[in-house]
Amino acid sequence: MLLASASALLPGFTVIGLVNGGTFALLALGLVLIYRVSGVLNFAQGAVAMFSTFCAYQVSVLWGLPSWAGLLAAVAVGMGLGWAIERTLRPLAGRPVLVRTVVTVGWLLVLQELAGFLWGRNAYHQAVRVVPLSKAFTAPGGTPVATDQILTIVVAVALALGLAAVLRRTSLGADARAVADDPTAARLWGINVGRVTSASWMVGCGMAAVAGVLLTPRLNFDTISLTVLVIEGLIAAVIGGLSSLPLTVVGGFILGVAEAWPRAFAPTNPGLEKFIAVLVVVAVLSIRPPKVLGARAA
Amino acid sequence: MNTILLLRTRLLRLSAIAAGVVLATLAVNGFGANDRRLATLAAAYGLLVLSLVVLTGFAGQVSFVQAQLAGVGALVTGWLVANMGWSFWAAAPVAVAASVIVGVVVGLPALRLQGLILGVVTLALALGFDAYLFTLGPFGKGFTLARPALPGLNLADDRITFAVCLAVLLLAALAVANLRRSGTGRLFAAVRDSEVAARTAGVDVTRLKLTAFAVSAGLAGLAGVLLALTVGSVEKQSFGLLFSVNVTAVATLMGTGMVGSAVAGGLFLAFGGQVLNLAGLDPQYFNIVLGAGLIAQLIAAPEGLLPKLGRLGSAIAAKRAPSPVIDTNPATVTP
Repeated sequence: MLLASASALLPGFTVIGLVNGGTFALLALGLVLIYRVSGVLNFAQGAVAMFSTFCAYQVSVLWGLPSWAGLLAAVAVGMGLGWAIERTLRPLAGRPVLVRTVVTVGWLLVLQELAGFLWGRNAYHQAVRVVPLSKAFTAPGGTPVATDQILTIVVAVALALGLAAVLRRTSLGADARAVADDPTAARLWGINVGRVTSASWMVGCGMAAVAGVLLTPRLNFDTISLTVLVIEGLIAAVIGGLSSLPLTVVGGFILGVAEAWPRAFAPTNPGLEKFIAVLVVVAVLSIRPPKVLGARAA
Repeated sequence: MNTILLLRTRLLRLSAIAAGVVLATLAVNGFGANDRRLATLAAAYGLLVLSLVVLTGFAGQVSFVQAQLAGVGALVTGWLVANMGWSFWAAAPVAVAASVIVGVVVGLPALRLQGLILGVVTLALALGFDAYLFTLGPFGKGFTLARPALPGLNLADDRITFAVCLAVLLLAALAVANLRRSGTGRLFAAVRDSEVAARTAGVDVTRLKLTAFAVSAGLAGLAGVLLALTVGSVEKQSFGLLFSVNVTAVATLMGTGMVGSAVAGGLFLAFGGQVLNLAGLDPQYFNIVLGAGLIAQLIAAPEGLLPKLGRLGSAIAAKRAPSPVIDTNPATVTP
């Protein structure tokens, strides 16, 4: 009886899971791009998204400019932050990857607190809406799906495919792949490794800004929610294997669906979903430990 | 002869700890109530940092879940005392044991993972505790517990509580320092420096990693028990995700390689806000200072502040009294 009703609900929750998965994928894409080129997992990715989104809030809500101006401001700030973070990592070239990654933890703390200082802690903030929160269609099982949720998935998939194409087909992409494979050899080939790394951080953090602006209407828009969402982005990236961008989107979808399905069987709380995310990543990692970027990690 | 020497060093160390506790308590005697409370918190936080000295500094494992392990200790203590009617002194060892068990389970993924990925998994585990496990059943509401009675000591007195917490911290620090010099400690170092080499040399890496997680979780659990003792109420909010990130950041900032980081880190975590306040800044901006400090420290002194200060100190001392011994280390020869 229970199973019968659950199977009727499953399609609807699958749609919800895919929608949430697009969210995680969007944050994870920038993470994977940065990781591939620099070997560092940016723990501050969520904080960058949060800080950039607050800049969009400043422009579009507080100053009353159109929402696209806010989005542009957010992307600009995100790219600026990516540039700045990469600058603080430069003196640490050759240091263990772990040390360089802890630098991003420092950025996480600074950005989170700075945003609280500038825009207030714990207070409710009005989100910037790039598209109206209107219902687009009704999924099987009566679940409404909104325009912005579809946009999230479309943007995630488009960014993944677009970026993968850039990496594969342009000379800049070839440079980036060369640096990802072996920075020393890339330098010997005359590639400006610093510039390529810098560019990857700027693009990766710019993507975090896009993710932040698209996601805030569905989140508690404070200094914590997006900052902490980096964990689910990291999980999605790890499930995707930390290498291919399209697989990262798949990783996001898997995580989203895994979190949503239990709801078809019993009403659950959001906390349980986070716990399931943890179980999923532990399970995936024990089945298939990721290839850590070997020589450079040492 | 050796035994006598050993006994003498032990006696000396223990009396040094006793003297330290007495002196610190005398100092705290002059503090206001709030500063006394912070000093006691500093001792408990010090244990939390110490747990990372063992795990990261000695065994080379990454963890962002230490505050949650302390939360297990505190919440189990609270539950046993407030809901089950146990005596605090019976509950404390059970709570520490619970932390150790959880710590070993948390350490299981570490058997196959290293570095960054282990960092991601422990961070995810911290989220799992924060968002779900700590909300289950009675844990979600938290507990209040009265100061327990200890024959001969009046724990209701802030100064006595502080002295007890500091003594626990210093004894634990002494034990950890001994652990580093022990056979297990050297095996930890072997695993930290190269897992492959250690395995090749016949070291049981699995057992050692789990031992490191168990010891570390025990220390974190003890920190939780002390927090339950001093604060008098246990709430899951005190053991949140961002606090865990803070603890790891502070331990890294001070340097996980040194036992002394526990004292420095505990003081920094407890009094950091207060110091900002004295400087005319809002203590809420502690994290900005911590984060910026962390970035600067990693660039300037990746091994941590304390080892850097120690080196600076010995460099100054060496300048003042040039030693007749010829320095053969090319790194220290000035052109």
